[in-house]
Order: sequence, then structure tokens, then C-alpha cells
Amino acid sequence: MRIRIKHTTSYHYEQSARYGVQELRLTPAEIASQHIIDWKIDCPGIEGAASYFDSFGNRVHLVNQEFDADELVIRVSGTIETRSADGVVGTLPHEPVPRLFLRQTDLTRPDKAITALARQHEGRHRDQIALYHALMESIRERMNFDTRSTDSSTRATEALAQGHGVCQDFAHIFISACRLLEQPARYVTGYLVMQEGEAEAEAHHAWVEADVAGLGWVGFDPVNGISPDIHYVRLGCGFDAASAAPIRGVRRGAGGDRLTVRVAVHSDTQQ
Amino acid sequence: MLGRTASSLYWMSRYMERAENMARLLDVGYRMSLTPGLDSGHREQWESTLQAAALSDTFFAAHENAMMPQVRNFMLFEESNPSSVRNCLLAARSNARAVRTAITTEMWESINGTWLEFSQVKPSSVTADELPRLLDWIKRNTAQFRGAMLNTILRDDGYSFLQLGVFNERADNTARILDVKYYVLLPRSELVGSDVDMQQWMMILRAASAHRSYRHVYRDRYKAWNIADFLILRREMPRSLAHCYAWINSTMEDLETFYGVRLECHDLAKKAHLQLRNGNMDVIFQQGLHEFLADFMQQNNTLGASIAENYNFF
Amino acid sequence: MYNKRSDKIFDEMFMQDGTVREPYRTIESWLLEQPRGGLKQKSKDAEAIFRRLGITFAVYGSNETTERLIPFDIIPRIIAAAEWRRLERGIEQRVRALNAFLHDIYHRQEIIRAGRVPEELILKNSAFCPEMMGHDPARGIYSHIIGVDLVRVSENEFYVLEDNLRTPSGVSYMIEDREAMMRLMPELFAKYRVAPVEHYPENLRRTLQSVAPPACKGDPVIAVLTPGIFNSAFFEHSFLADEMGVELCQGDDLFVDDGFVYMRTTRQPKRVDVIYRRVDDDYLDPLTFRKDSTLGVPGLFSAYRAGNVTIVNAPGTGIADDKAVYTYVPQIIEFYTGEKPILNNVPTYNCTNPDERAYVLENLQDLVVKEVHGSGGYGMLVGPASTRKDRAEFTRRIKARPNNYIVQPTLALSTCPTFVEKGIAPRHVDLRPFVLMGDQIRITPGGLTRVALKDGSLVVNSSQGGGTKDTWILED
Repeated sequence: MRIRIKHTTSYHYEQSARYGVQELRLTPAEIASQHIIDWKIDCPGIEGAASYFDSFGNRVHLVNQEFDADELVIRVSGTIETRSADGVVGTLPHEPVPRLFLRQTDLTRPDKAITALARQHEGRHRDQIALYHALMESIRERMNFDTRSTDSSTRATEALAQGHGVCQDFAHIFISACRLLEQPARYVTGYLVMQEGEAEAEAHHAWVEADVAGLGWVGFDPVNGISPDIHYVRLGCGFDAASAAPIRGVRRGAGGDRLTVRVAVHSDTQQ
Repeated sequence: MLGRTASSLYWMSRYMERAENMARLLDVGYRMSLTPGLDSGHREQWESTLQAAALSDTFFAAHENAMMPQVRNFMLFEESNPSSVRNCLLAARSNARAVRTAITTEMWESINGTWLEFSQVKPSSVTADELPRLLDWIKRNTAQFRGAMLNTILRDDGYSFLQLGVFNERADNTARILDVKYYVLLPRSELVGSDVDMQQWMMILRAASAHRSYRHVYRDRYKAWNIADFLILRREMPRSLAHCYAWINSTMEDLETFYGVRLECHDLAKKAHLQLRNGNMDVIFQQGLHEFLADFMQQNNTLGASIAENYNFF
Repeated sequence: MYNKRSDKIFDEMFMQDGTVREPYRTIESWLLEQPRGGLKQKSKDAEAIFRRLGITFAVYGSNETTERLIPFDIIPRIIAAAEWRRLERGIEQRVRALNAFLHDIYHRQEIIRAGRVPEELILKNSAFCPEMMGHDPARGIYSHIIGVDLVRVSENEFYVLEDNLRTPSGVSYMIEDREAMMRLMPELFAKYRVAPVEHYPENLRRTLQSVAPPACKGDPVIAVLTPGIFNSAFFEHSFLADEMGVELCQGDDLFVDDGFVYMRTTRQPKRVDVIYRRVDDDYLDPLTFRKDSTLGVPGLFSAYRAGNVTIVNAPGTGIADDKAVYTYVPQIIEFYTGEKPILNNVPTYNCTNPDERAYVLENLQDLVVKEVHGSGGYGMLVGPASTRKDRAEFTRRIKARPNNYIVQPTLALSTCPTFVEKGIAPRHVDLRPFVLMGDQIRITPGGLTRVALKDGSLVVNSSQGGGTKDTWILED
């Protein structure tokens, strides 16, 4: 499936910022399930950006602006050809050892409830894939999708206790439980085409990848209970939502800011 | 040179100058309080001292009356007063530590020694009798610092920033002292020409260490016109505005040569310098001395901000 | 004139039978020649020199941060050339192995796969820095400046107490102590051939230049990054910058533009290629590490990963001097060098092992307990000097968090003659030689000898009443 993406992030500052610097993890990798036809990041400072692979294997651009402005707009656009790969991502170049992803973070550290959730699956499944699917199902039973009850700093434990959350919360609970069971798991950001044809909605998405012996990384989307298919475009990964964040920035200047994100994903079915 | 280094050099010498000015002002206030015939305005003397030090608002935010022990303690030691001698010496020394390698050992020893010794002084030990001795000590030490600076430091851009700090501060101080006398004390017109008036003028000169040199220059009794002329336009008077700006202007020219760039602050300095060089006392009085001084202090502040901006002090 | 502590303790001046050890012969006769009060005067002169120069360190905890002088002892500690050569070989072996370990840990982790170091110890260790995974620092070097803490217990036995691979401090004292000694006792330098230490800053500069990043063309620009004047080691930061002739910067002085790091100068920004930072990992870059840090430079770590600047020492070197990893250093040396360690580790008990823990709790009065993440002598129990109450407290703590402590036997640290109130007396010492690793390994002959000035005390930390001595390595 050919997917066209337009992703615009705007920061509106209460007071003008004089200097800003951002790390952008906004470049998808070429993998079995996706072929990049064209891809472009457009924002102030992108011409001189330093580019490197971070410790997770993501392509990062470091951009900065020296300006006097009350807004910063980062636009990403591109076209991706997706193919079915049953969620298998395998091993990317520049990747660290998978067992690095056994490290819990502040957002994923488990409590008794997550421990109980994880332990009920311990030794109960014939292989890892079965385990991950069963784990997804348990999380879906316990969690309702709800965009109003959590925010970007909500921990896995808090989300599970509330029983509501968004894709980030589902992913954190999954990751927390996997790591507890000594299964490496990581957080993945990307885009999802909700319907065939035109769609402008919850297209910015997050899911997880877990390590499977012999296959490498395999994707699981605990919100939808499936492995990513041709409707998914993978952007980057990390320990959790914070470390995989597509945009992370610091600016000099007083006052707060307001963030708006618009994502438009179009699929052309041209089979 | 780092912008921060330039900033620290500028503020180090500016704070040393301010410490000295605080000591001078306190000395004048102290003498006034001892002078018979000024009792009509006893409390006002201290108020005017605070005003001359630009400290009135800060002082009265915490104190009801301006009496000698409170004012003395406030100007010398109070931590909540950013311009107390203690805070000036501490700030000077912190700046010096931050740029320890950009100044000479002699400068460091002078500034470090001054702080170490001053920090040992107990406020309660500074009685009225002890005050003059402490004030003399402060003046001596700040003079020693300046001597160490002039004798040892390399004449590069760092030297220029040090000089700018001194003269920016001094010009502000002189203008303020003069303004306080003229604007705050003068309106009581029945006193013009009286003994009290003369005493006040003499104190102003004393605060600028200029009561003797005045005689050499004018060979006349104290007159408002002469004193204003002396403190504003006389280049040979080392605390006059004209003198400060002659230094500032030539220092700015040094910086222009050193970096090969002329910036906004150069034009500001030159403008103020020429105004003073070509100034005429009659014209200044006609336009109003207070207006002139207020305008000058504004310009002097703007110059400080412009130097900081142009040379990346942040 | 001088009574040794006891026969159990090795004294570096006197042997068991009371004869003077070879390196100390000359100084012994010199000490005997000194007029009454002569040493006292020299000691006072030394203090005056240090105070004038402003060599102080900040002490925290009291109401106000105060600056103090570290006491300086005027009797040098002397080590013979042959003794030093062995130490040098051992240190070099150790730092090479630890650097190889860091490279491996931040790449393929072969040592974990080989089962020589437990995976959990590394991957779940807070000193492990995942952000460093896959990064290739210039010349493959992680820890460029290392201070190895050594203690001596007999004629031929040295132990490594700690490998400091993060931002070891104290080198300015090594240099200033020598400077003071040369002023105070020039006649002794005429009698001994003492290896010089004054070239350390020059060697440091060469080391830093040699690890310029790939993007640097031409002469590398170096800067020292300090947390500022309130840092306890600010004097040293300023001293080293001055001696190397480079800028001393704070975080605010640096900024990132187009992926490169620049200094804010009075005019045009100046690009920086190598940053000798004395700011901890956590505070280096709010974009990557602690968000609330104001000491660092936003974007610095990205510039580093992009190969546009070198950070010295690299972030994440703490995993190699972690106290829990310390116990594995002998295996680490064998794994990467194929050799037996030349310098001994202090035998260490692992409290997570029930048998070892039982032994530890039974014998606390003879042992030293250290917190895994403590430093500077804080959070430490020295058994022989402890009270019953202290031991009860540590028993409770060890039981609660056994993996938070390592336990070692109390070592009989050697003593050296030291000038104290009552005259010359033996005091316990350790030694921190400084190692530079760049285009080559450079070990400055000598180092910082720290001396516990309190009679019988084994704690040499300056924050707890320790002083320093000049350390003389004799040339053949």
C-alpha cells in the first residue's frame, strides 16, 4: 500500500524564543514491511542539521534556531510503500544488543499489579509469540481506550490502575510486563492509516516490538490486538515514549508554550 | 575572550568601585550627623545619603526610620541590600574567582584579601567610634586593588572591560550625588545660601574627595555653579562626568582597535563624551540641572546595557 | 624521634628492625639536621603559599559553603624507581583493560556473552549509560584521564582500592605540592633525583589534542567545562585551564549550532573540538540526560554522537569504576589482555551471597563497608574505628539492601613519617597516580599522596580530615 504522510508539529510560544535546539527522530528506516519512496523534514535549521544514529539505531537530526520568533513549525512529509511482513522487523543496522531492552525506566517500572499481570503468563505458552499475543489480550481486557484520562507523563502502573489510556499507556504496560519476564521489548512510534482512502485522525500511533528468538524484533499493537500490517508506518524506537519521542527540544526564553500536532495520512490503493 | 569573562571583569571592577562609593557616602553621612547646625535636618541627612546611594526604596521596604545604626548596618553589611559593602566585595570576589586566570596574582590577592578580612568584621563591633576607621580601610583597600590593576594587568581587551566597569559606575555615582543635593535638598529655598546649604555642598565635594582640589581650581567659596561645573565638566577632576567619559571613550576606541569592529556602544560613548566635552554650564543650568543629570544617568545606563549586548556578556 | 605504629603495619621509612629503608636514608639525616622549630616554620610557610594562591576546596554541609585549605604535610613520600616501574606496568595493564571493557560494553558485549561478567550487573546498573551504545569515540578511548587509588600493605604488596574513570580530581594538588616543596626545601632536591611532575598540564593538552573528533581539521580547540565557582574542585578546573592555556567555560558559555559546539566570545563564536568536562554525566545535556540541568549544554551529546566534538572523559565511564563491577576487574583484565593482573584487587565480599553475608555480619568490627554508589568516604563503615551503634546500623542496612554494599577486609595501610603537632609521627597514606590516555598512555611519575592526619585513622579523604603530601619517584 502506498501511504502519503503529512505531519506538522507547531509550538506557539507565549514569549518569543531566542534560541532553540531539537532532536528529531522523524526518519523511518527501510525495512521489510516498508520502502521509503520520498521523505522530507522541513523546519528552521534543517539545512545545517547534524545527523547520526542514536543508541537504538534511529536516524536523528539535531537542529537549532537562533531567532526571535513566537512559533516553531516542523513539517514532515513523505511517501512510503508498505508490504505485509507479519509484523517482523528483524534486526536493523546500527542496532544495540536486544537485551539492552530489558532495562525498565521510570515510565515502565512495574508494581504489584503489573507483576501479577505478567506472572500469570509465565511458562504458560508454547513460544514467545503466543506469550506476546496472550499478553496483548490481557491488557486489552483490562484497559479501555480513552484519550482523556492520561498524558505523556503517565506511568504504566498509573494507567493500569485507572484502566484507561491511549496507545502510549498500552505500550508501556506491555513493555513493563515483557521486561519483567526477561523478554526484551521496546517502544515504537509511527503512523497508522485508520481507514482506506482519506483519513485525518488519530494517525500518530505507538506500539511495541518484542524480541523473538530466530526472528529478531516483531511488532505488536496492544491497542488493536494485532501485529502491524500494511496500514502501519514505523518511525523509530526507544525504551519508552520519552526516549523514543519524535521531537525533543530545549529553548531559551520565558513563558509556556502550546503544542499542536496535525497528521494527515492518505493511502492510495493502486494495486 | 569569552563573553562571560568580559562580563566578570567588568562587574568585578564595577563592584569594587561601588564598594568604595558606598564607603564615601557613608563617611559623608557620618560627618553630617556630627556637624552642629545641621540638626534641623538630622534625619534627612541619612535619607539623602540613602538617596545618593540609590538605596532609599530598598531601605524603607524593611525599615521605618533612617537612623544612623540602621543605615550604617544596611550600607555596610546587610545581605538583603545588593549594594552593601559586604555584597559588593563578595560579588567582586566571586567574579574574580570565576576569571581567576584572566587577572593577575596581585589583583587576586588584593580582592581576595579584602574579602577575607572584611568577612571577619562583626557588624556589632562597628560602633560610631569605629566607623571612620573601617571606612578608611575600605577606601584604602579598593585603592590598592586599583593600583594592583593598573600596575600589573596586560593592556588588552580585558583591561578595557575592567576600565569600563569602573567609569560606568563612577559616572553614575557622581551624577547621583549631585542630583540628590540639587533636587532633593534644594527645594527648601529659604535655606539657599545659608550655612546649612554651604555645609551640604561641602559634603558633596567631600564625597567626591574633592573639597581640597575645589579650592585649587576655583579659589572661591563654595558655589553651586562652580561645584556643578567641577563635578560635571572639569576633565581634570577624576570623578567628574567629563573625566569618566573621556576614559570611557578612549577605552571604547581601544576596543574598536582591538577587535576591528565599531558597534552601537561606541557611538553611544562618543556621543556622551562629546556632549560633556563641549558642554557649557550656563546652558545646563538654563535647561535644568536635574533634567540634565537624569538624562545623563539614563544614557550612562544605556551604555552599560549596550556594552553587555554588543560584547555578549549575557 | 619516631615511633612506628606497630609491627603489623608497614612503614615506608623504617623496617621491622628499625633500619631506614633505602629511599628514605637521605631525608632521615636531613630531618635530624633540622633546627628546633625549623619544620614548624616551613609548615607555616607552606600554608601561607597555598592560601595566597587561593588553593582551596569547598566544604558542604555547614551553614554556608566555606572554602578551606587542604592540609599539606611537608615531609615527602618517597618511592624508589624499581617500585614505581612495577606500579606503572600494573596501572597501564589495568587502564588498557578497563578501556577495552568500556568499548565492549557499549558495543557487542562479548564479555557478557562469554559469561565472565553477569549481564544484570551491567545492563541494570545505574552507572551504565545506554545512550552510549554503538558510539565510537575518537581513537576508541573512553576514559582519557584516570586516577587509580592504590594502597600499600608491605614491601611488595600494593592493592588497587578504586579506579576513578569518571572525572578524577586532585591533580592540581600534585603539582602545587611539588611547587611548594621546591620553594621550601630546594636543598633536598639537590640531594635526590626526583622525577618531575610539572609537565602534567602539557601532557594533558597533548592527550586532549590527540582525541580531536573526525570533523576537526587543523589545530583542535580545547575547553575545560566547569560547573562553576561553587564546585568543590573549581580551583583545579581553573588551574588546569590556565596551565594548558585554554578557556575555562561554564555551560552557558557554550552552545550548539548546526551540530557543532561553540564558545560565546566577546565577538565571533569560536568552535570547540574537545571538551574536558568536569561536569557529571547527568548534567551534561538537558536534552539527553537530566532535563532540569542548567550546568550543561543542550545538544552537546548529539554533537558528540555526530562525531563533531569529543567529550573527555566519555559519558558512561562510571560503569567501569562502579564498586560492584570492581570485584570483576581481575577477570576483566584476563579477558581482554590474556594476562594475569599485575596489581591486586582488594578481596571483596559479596553480600548477596548468603554465606559471605553471614561472615560479613559476624565480623563487621574487622571489615570496611562501602556503599556501591558512595564516594568521598561518605556512607562508609570502618570496622575497627566503629561503635557498636554504627555496626548495628550497618547490619540493618546490609540486610535491607545487600547489593548496595561491598565489604572488604581492613587493610593495614602503610604509614609514612608526617609532621604533626607533637613532632614527626607515622600516619596512614594512600596514593593516586594520574594516567592520561590518548595517542599514548602517559603516567605521571608520582601522584597525589593522601594522608590521614588523625592518629590511627584510615580515612584519607580531604572532606574528612585528610591532608596531602608531595610524592617523589626517584630516578635511577
